[in-house]
Amino acid sequence: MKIESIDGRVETESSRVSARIRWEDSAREPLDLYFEARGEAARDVRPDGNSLLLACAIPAMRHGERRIAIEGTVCPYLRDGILAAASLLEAWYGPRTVPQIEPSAGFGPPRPAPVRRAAAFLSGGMDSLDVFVRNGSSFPAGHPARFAEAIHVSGLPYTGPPGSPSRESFVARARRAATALARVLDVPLSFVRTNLGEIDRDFLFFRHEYFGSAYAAVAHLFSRRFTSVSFASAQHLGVRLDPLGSHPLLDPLYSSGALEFRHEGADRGRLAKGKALAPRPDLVAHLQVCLTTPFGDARPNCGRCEKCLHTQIELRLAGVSGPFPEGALSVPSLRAMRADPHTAFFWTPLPDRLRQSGDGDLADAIEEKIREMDRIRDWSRDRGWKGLLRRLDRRYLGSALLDLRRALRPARERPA
Amino acid sequence: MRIDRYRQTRIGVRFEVGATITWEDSDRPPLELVYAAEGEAAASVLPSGDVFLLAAALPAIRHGERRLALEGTVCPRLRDGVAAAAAVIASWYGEARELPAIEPAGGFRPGIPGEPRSACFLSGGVDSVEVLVRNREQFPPDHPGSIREALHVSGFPFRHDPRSEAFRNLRERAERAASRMAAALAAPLTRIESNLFEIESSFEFSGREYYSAAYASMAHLFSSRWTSIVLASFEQMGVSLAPLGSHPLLDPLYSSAALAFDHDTRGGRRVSRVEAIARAGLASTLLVCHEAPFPEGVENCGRCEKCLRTMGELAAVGALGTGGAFPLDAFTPGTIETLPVTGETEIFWIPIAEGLRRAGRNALADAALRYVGRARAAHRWAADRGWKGNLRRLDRRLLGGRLLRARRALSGAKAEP
Repeated sequence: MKIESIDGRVETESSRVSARIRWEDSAREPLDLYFEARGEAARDVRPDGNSLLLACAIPAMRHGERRIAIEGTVCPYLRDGILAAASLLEAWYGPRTVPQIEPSAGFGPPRPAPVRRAAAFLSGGMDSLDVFVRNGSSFPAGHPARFAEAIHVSGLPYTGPPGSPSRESFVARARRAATALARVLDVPLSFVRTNLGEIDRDFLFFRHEYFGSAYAAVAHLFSRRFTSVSFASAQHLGVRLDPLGSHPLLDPLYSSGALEFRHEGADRGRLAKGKALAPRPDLVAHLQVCLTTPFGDARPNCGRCEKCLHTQIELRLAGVSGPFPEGALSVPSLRAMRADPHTAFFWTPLPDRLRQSGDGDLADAIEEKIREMDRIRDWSRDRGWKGLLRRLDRRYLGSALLDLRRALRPARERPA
Repeated sequence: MRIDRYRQTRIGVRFEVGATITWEDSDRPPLELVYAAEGEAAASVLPSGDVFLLAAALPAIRHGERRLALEGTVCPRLRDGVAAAAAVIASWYGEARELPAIEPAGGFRPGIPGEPRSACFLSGGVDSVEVLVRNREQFPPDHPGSIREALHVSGFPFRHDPRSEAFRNLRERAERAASRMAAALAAPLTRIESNLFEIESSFEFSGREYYSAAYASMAHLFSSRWTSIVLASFEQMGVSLAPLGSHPLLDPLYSSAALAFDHDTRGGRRVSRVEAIARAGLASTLLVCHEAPFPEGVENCGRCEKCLRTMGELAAVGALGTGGAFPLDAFTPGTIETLPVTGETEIFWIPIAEGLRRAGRNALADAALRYVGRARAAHRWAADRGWKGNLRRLDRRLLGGRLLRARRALSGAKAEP
């Protein structure tokens, strides 16, 4: 892979960084990558080899690129971090080609901004809002760890080509929410619009391997201005720690000699976050958690998708309601929800709490859904005696039992 | 638990910080906790709620204390981090643990970091030395990321009885190695010792849960001087990441707003770390062996797994003959083959075997691979892997262990004359 034609343009209130990404070993089309920044921090955005390396390294690894040749310098601390991240991803998902990193001007650490200044990403969702609220209560104004500014990114993950209804609906809703939240939080907000999601449009890749480094790429654009940028965690230490593209083991590895990339908020779960946000209905009113897109009207959340449903319950248990359609949270909505075992950890703490608050019907519906998730998980992980039998069959009988069962089943199911 | 009577004294070049720990819910005697520092940064040590919280939180959880009342303030970032660390440890070991209520008399307030200044722990072993060697390669001296000073912890962890000759011998050897490394790498050294282990004397507890919290406690004594400190990882990212008292998930949680506690996993495989040390000309000063006591002039026994592993790594990168840290005559196929299997150490020996093969040392490479085979078989057995493991599990689950008993009865009968 070559990262070349790196260019930067700074105007009064906006800036643009661009580069051409050419694949060398993978038969993929080149990408004219861009980041466009607007707002308070935009004037400090500059082309940054570390940012572009973070944008490309994990996709390059996925597609078997043997090297990443990049114009300019790269921080050696970041290089070693990316190599450690690659080792971790290999341990999670199997062997990858780890590309050689070849900066044209060699390796050299960038110097941090002269004044310590912290910022954080503000998506409009619950996790990033919780990070901001807690930061505000932990650090007084003027403290170097207090978030002085916020960054909102449009274009991650890939949700469709520019101008498409799916993309525009998603971008507009999130941007509206982040704008409103930043205003209430009284924190200057900068916007970054990028086509980085196009480097690999596979959402599962984005989710499982890539999104921490993609956001770190955006953070490093601001390394002249910020010395640390925090990214809100969707994980919960001690409860649920899935191999994901943003992870407390991965994200710190995307720091350089100039900028610390912090994975923050993994120490508490959604119920605790809901409780922490409950005293701030002025903030909760602007939450946007829904990933459904396109979306017909101006409402921020559909209210019926998996994420909307558990967020409504978390807020309800905390004694506050969010911007969700009236009546969206119901037993039929829960029953209609697709059971995804990956999201079970959001649901398992809810039934007991709902029963305590007198919502037994919702608790029953959730328990039914959790059982469905468990069945799917057990099947996929070969658990229980059936799982043991399947494993023995595969290993020692070459799946003869499975073939036999498949051969017998159609006969049994044939109508008389 | 109460922690109070913070104190600070100076005896010549030795700077001491202490506090009194009183157990409230556990029937344990009070402890006068003391840290004593000597060297470059020793005059900077200060008692603080952060220091004593880190020293006491995990032992307090272990012994069921309901609160941790401290003098002074505690950083809110550290408070949240300690709570998260307790949750991580509970999830690893599956034991219910209740974090005591943290009650600092002065409330929760973040410290203000000073001018950026980095330090590192320096034991004299492979992992910590490699961190400093790599840092010297990565950062020029005037960069804020450049490690300016090193901290050597004397006598911790306490593998040997603190009153024994073995303890004294190992401590002196480690101090010697760290001093030489620090001088060679231009990192002025501070030595610190403490009776932290008296809070909880279990070596197993230290290794499984407490190790890095104790180190972090010592680091936070210097938070008016350093803004970050690096603890080398003995884990290898992507190769081994077992639950341990020092872990990349845990250690950063012991940071405050004033001092970042960094667990460095960027060093790559252990064989690469050894290669970097050899390249820097420091292989002859390494201290990797925790056996003791030794006669004057012997730094590493050359026969334990850690010594043989390090010698194997040096041989694999063509640097075994570069110094006198190890008795070279001990590095033979025979000693490798008779090495007892302890822990999951085979992960280190696979790259060693590959390197030895590349270096044309085939007898040693074969011995290394045989060790790997023995270690894998032992772990397979312990984990009930393979078809025999499946059979054992089925026997336990469905037949109540009858097959095992039958086999034992038969083999016992056969063994009878």
